[in-house]
Amino acid sequence: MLAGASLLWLPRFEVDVVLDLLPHATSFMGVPTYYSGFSPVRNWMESWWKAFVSSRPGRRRCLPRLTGSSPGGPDTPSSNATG
Amino acid sequence: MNLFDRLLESHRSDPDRLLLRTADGAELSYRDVDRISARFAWVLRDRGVRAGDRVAVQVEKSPEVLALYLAVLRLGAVHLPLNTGYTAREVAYFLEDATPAVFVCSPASAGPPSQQGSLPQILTLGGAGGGGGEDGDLVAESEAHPDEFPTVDRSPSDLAAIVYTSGTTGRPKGAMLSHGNLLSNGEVLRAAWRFTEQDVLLRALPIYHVHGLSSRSIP
Repeated sequence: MLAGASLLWLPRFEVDVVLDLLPHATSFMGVPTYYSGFSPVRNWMESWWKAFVSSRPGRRRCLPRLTGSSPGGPDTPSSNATG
Repeated sequence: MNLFDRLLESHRSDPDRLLLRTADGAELSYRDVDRISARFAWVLRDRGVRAGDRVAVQVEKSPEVLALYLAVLRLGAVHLPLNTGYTAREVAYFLEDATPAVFVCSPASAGPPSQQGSLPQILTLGGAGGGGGEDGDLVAESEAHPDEFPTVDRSPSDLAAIVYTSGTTGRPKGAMLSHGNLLSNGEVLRAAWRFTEQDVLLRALPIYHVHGLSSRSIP
């Protein structure tokens, strides 16, 4: 609200619902148990990456550190970029 | 400096800006939430809540709970969120310790007065809070009230919220958070995470948790 942004408001954490909505969000906040909930889901990182790239090009540099690889593309940062 | 004014500042020039969309597609603008919170604030005021009084809240997550939080802020009262998993005995401790003026809960938690200490008022959020439609329904009562409410002025050091610790080293303690604390926290995170009005935060966190309390200010 301080930034004038908007919320996708979920009553609780459900992996399938979160993955469906990630492409419509620019940010997701969670706790460690949320991310462990993602891990059994095939291609969840791909979904996350697509949401990330489509929404905020300026934040791409976070992801190579998480994945350990470069996703490619014209905006891909150098390997020493930090999140 | 009431935190409420800072949170709603961004919408003054664009009141129809989207604030919140639920999973089933319902949408609330900044103006909608402003109006709902104004009506809630009138109900709380009519029920005797004044600046500095605590308002304990133990309800399921809903858009109305966000409006209730804002209503408590603009009234100058103190938001006291409680985990929905707390038992009646645990809740009794919090209510005795914090002595709230009002306890907003689900009808199932309302219980007889003997379980709730000396609470003067018990309200529910109707269907939005996990129950519905009976006496003391804050949502139903609010419908007769105006869409505007004069925000009560507060200083940065005035209390805005109390969040109880988990109690791993003893009984839970009420951590006192001022308007200045919550504003500073939100502004630092907004700057660090580069939030702008173009952002959309997917939010699944519970609202009774301190992280949920802080992060709800950022977008």
